[in-house]
Amino acid sequence: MPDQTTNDALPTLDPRATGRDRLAVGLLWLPVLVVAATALLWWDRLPARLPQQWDATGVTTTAPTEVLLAITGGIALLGALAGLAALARGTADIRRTLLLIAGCAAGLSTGIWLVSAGLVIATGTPEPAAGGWPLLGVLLGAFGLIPFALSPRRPIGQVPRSPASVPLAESETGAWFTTMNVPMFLWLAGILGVATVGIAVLSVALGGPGSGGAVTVGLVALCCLAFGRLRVSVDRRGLRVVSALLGVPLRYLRLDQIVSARAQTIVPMEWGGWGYRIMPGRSAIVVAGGPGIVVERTNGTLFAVTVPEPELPAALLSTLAAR
Amino acid sequence: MLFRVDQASTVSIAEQLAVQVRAAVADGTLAPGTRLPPARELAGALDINMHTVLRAYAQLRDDGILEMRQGRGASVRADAGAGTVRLVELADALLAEARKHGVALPELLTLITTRG
Repeated sequence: MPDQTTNDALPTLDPRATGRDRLAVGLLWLPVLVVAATALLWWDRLPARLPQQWDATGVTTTAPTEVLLAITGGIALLGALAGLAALARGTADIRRTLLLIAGCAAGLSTGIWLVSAGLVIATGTPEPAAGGWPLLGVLLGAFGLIPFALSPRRPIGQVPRSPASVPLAESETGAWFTTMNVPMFLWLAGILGVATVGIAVLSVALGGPGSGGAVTVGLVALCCLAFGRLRVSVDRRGLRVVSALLGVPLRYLRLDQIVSARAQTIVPMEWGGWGYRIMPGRSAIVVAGGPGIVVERTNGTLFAVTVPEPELPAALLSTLAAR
Repeated sequence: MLFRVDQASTVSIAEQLAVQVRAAVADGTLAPGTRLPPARELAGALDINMHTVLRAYAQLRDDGILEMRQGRGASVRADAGAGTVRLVELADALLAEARKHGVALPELLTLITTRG
């Protein structure tokens, strides 16, 4: 078919990390340093088990010191590594969110370590009374706000002023349809479906246990099946994504909720992964890396869906939305 | 694929749809085996009568471009392609020419069968 769209150049935002981004990421190593330094300093004086939970009467559960250190230190390290990953260009649009989550997780785990080990060192007893100290540990989770605030805000909705359009006469209407098969989700659904039956049979044979697991795995299988074949349509009513196998609408954006749409390469990392993704300011149905339609909504958020050859539907959607 | 309907056109809406499907099959936009949207959905999307869509689909089935199965809707026939579409166009042209010269359909058929 001949090209039925007219196009304009797209402006882009610099995805590179700024100096403040690097400072924020550097700051994420602070929890790792704190946990490592205190662990080295206190190690000889720490008992074999550290308190893990308190209630009004005292310590209720304890954990081996090595395990507690490995978990809290490990989470802090993961946070620092996630920060490094957030410097990549591909993650520019979700960099602040990544830094917030990584910082909060690292701060919280550092707080847990400090309160647990610190109280033991400070009081000199293996099962000290906690008082209000665990609250401080939880409050350290707010550490994530610091890298979040340091990383500069990026404007969302970088949609060009005049996106591509499909010339339609006054008396004309247009509708665009496509159906996508997603073998990955079909395979997953099949494997999980077999697993569901297996767990259910086992559960009956054993007389009870595991029935909850069968239900859970079954539900996940059903979700995968829903994404196995998708029908995407653009028409006078809006953009619709329907599960073709289950006949369930997955997403429906009315035309009056849409400012404009454009064709863009969808990198799953930038949208939070595969499947139905919801992130601050953006949501997406990602079933393949590659081309897709990105819609700017009137409430300022973005919605993306991957489709092969998205230029025509994106242009049609823009045209219809502008009417 | 993109369907467009012009209410102001002198060409019937069913014919507009059929022409677009033929063009899409001829240029490969609609590959063999591709399913077309259910008639009810296409009608809703274009704000036209469902029977108009069904008429277009039936015409395309008679032309050997679509196959319709109960419960599976309409899809492009495995053997449909540019050749099928070209034959349909030639048949249409032949019919139009015959009408212009006052040749009735049975005579035209005889003309074709004596050559086959």
